[in-house]
Amino acid sequence: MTDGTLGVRPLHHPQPRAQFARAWAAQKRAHRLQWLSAAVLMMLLIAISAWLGEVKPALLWDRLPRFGSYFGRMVPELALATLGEDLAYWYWNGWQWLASLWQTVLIAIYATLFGAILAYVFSFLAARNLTPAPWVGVAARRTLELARTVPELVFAVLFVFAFGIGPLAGVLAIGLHSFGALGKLFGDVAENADPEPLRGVRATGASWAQTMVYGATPQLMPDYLSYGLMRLEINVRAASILGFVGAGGIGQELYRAIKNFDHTDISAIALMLIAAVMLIDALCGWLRGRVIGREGLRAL
Amino acid sequence: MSLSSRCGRPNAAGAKRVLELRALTRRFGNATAVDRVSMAVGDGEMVAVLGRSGAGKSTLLNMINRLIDPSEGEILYHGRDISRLSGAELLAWRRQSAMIFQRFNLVARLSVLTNVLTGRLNHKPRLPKLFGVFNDQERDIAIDALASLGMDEHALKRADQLSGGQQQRVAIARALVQEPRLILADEPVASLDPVNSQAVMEALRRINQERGITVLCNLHSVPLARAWCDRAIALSEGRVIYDGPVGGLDEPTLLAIYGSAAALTEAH
Repeated sequence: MTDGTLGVRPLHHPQPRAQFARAWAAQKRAHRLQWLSAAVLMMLLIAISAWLGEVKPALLWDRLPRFGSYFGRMVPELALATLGEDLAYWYWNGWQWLASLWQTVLIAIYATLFGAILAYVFSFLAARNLTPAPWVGVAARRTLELARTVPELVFAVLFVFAFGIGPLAGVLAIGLHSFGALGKLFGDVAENADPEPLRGVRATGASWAQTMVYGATPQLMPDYLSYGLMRLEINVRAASILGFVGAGGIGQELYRAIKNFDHTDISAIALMLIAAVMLIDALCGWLRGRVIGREGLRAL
Repeated sequence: MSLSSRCGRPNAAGAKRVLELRALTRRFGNATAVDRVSMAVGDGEMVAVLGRSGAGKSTLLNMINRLIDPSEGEILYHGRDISRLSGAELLAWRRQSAMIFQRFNLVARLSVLTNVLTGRLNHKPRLPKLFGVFNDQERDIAIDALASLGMDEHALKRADQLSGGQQQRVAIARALVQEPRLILADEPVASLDPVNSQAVMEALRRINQERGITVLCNLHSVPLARAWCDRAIALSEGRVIYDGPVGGLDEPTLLAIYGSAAALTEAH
């Protein structure tokens, strides 16, 4: 009682605390050894991969100023007295760039639509609870995997080769990748669909496709819309890069400027691009909030 | 006996047999939910299926609609084996044997009207319906069905804005527009309060008597079976242990169905 044992008498061991202290110390030693060997192994692996990958921290340090001077050259000459003229000179090709930027946004919108519509159909084939037959589900999931593991740039190179330089290649490349990514997300959401309305519709003699349209779609639409808008944000960013391989949009202008060492053009285009992406992100975020928000409020 | 004579159809012996189950069995793994059930239902009968939870009532009704496939046995409708149907014939059979569920199974985010119209999905033309297009004639059919249940004023509301009793009446309207020959009601009032329970049972009885539609109704409550049905079939552990007029459900029979006096009190 006096040593704080709460009056509980030990049943098996005369000294339970000493017994526990020994076991605990042993466990701690074992853990420390495991952790230490894992850390040593990890550091060894990092060193080996840096050596194989020719990562040289010294080089990074040496060349850092060069990186800074590149940015320095991108800064345009702006004076307060002649600000209007200076800006006009900086954005000498502004309207052309704006048109290209608009094309980039259109590429993203069409690609998202194309990908989302295909993904909508495939999500019902791929979801394990909705698929018309197990083998169809497996085939659909493999198709989606294939579409999303190939990067957009690889698709873009292929489509530029097939359909020529221009926005069509961009739409197809981003659309196909979006199909794979969205199909996976849609399918996962569809696997959580409430089975009761599905049975209700099925019991009326509705076909599989009708059951998907009337039983599954209404309950899944808010999630699908939300994911679709998020994909649109991602696709605007993807579309701005694809111009580098000739797939249309502002990327083509940016690539030309970089290639020709038109340093102030690079900064002009990059700033427009960043502003556009931020604007679209904000817009999609707001729309997404409305789609989810209304539903969320209903549940409370 | 007074109840069954009031209903005018004592039991299957008198009416023409339309639905016949022969040794119908369904197993889930090692468990046998429905065990060699044989019975015949006459045209226009209203039959209560009684039994404790897990007695196999729900599986039985779902097998008749073919939402669940039987393991063995036959389901004959007018002598035709339903248990082997597939493809378009299966869908057409589901249209003829309308289901009503304990939890209504409406699509929450669709309007009441659209929910009722889903009962027309198996009627031609089917392709426009895939894109949400129903013709005026079908809308009229749906509104008439809702009106017959006093629900027409709610047609444009979303289904999840209605109370449970209202939702079940919408589900009955969906069953009606299927133009079924048979209605299978799986615990239709188990989620409802007593007043709504009476309203829903009254609606089913009216449909049964006015339109001559055969009704099979899973029920938890013996008084409801006595009040609204002609005949009772009782299941215990998947087997039929009583088949006769509701008037014949005396204390010893009920004790056999519910196993103990305590469970029986609950069923009252």
